[in-house]
Amino acid sequence: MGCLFSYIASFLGWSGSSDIVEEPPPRPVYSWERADRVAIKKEDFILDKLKDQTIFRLPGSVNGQQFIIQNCENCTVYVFDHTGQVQIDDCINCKIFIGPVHGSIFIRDSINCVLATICQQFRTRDCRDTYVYLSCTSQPIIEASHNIKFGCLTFNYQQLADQYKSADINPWNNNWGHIHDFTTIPDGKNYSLLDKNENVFKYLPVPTDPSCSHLNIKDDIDTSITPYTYGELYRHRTEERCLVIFFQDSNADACARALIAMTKQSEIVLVQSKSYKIDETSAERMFGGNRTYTPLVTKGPVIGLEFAGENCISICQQCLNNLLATKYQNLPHFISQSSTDARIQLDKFYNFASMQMFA
Amino acid sequence: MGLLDFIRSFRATSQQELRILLLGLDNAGKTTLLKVLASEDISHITPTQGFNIKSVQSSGFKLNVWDIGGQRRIRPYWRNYFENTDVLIYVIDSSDRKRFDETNQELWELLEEEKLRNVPLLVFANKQDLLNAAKASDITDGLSLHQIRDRRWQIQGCSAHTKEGVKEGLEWISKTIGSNKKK
Repeated sequence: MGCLFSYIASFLGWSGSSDIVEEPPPRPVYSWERADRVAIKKEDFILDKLKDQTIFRLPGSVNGQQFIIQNCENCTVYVFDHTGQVQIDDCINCKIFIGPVHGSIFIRDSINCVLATICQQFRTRDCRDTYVYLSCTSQPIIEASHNIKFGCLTFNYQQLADQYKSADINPWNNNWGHIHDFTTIPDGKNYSLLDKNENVFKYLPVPTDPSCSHLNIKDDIDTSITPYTYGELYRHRTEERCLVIFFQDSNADACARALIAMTKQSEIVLVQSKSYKIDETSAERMFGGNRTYTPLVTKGPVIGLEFAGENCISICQQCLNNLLATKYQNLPHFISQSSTDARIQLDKFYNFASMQMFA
Repeated sequence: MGLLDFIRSFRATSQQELRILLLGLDNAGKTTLLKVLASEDISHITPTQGFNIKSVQSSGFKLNVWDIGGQRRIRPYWRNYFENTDVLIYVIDSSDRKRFDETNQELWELLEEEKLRNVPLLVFANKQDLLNAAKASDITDGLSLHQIRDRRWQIQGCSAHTKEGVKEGLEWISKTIGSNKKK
């Protein structure tokens, strides 16, 4: 038999039967095939065909897993945890809060809902008559949707700050009102922007269940993790602008928040904030050839704040000097010196961010 | 070896360019996959409004990868990118079960396109790391991939987020194109 086999093998052009046949390398065990992962039941993370119910998920109960809400009616859902990708499908009259989403949240074929969330991407398709409160790090998109009202989500509860980190979401990057519509209509808009006074608990019921009273859930601006920004509500207004940049430092976040709080007293508004790592070439062009800033950008992402209002440059400078003198000595920073400069600096600041993102 | 090293190990017979088309429904993970192929950071990805293109150049060859936006409204524009495609990579969100029929339909329309005739097909069953993900074998059945007769095809489960499974898909492309180019 051995002879016959090797005769056939050589006839077919195979190498001699004495060659060792190599086993293919063992396939790696993928992370989703591991026993601990296989043990997680996906049903615990899917809400399906529920009616007139209120559902809570407390911190630690979702822990970064995908979450799905579908075919629900008249329900109120609170997910006070960070999640993976979220899908919301075929819901009517539902009010939903989803904690920081690592990835995208996609709401489809839903009507008359309220959705508040913190996410990396926000998408809708075939929705209408829905309120959407966002802290979204990329440009939200809508498709085939009508009468969608967008607002800036201001929110805080115990552990929310850590959940932002778990979902890799930076609260200084919020594009809540900068919407891209894939199906624009000729005379009008499929969406509108909510004013600052329409905070989320106007439309999302305040959670009253005793299981979450210890979380100290609030929607007020002063304690919100994501700062309130006017964004597109202010984009085309002509008031004087000021750019303030805090370079990477352990106190940068705290000082930025303190500055925002202080400027409010003078009716200066925060239009936009943005945090990204400015590369060295961009830095040289941003700061007009002044090389002292270049080593500062290499340390890490900056926090940039765009303020607007009458005399905002001198007001911001005053407030900032106050903070630097009293509490934040030696904090590396940059602030616009004139209003013409400010406009140019802001253009560059945003343009370099876009360029680096699409490189 | 790392993913980029693996990409560098591609050998077309001469100074060849490979044109790779990345298609699939919106939110499938095409742009994340593109960034992974280019060994770039994936933490700031935005929904694609038009298209993204990256060239990975190395060792005398060039992979030109075209990632086209997949929203329903802009799928009619996919045909503008068909010409001269060497490999079609079709990306599926394995956890978006509600849209399996929709992605099935889009894939089979592509397979009937004249300009994509004979083009090898790699299906990435992406997002295997998500709880609701269907297994690649189930997706193979759901898409009736075994009925494909007119071209070479492969399905590969992967997670662009964790990078698992991506290299294996590229290995198949390397084998397939390699044998294509044999004279």
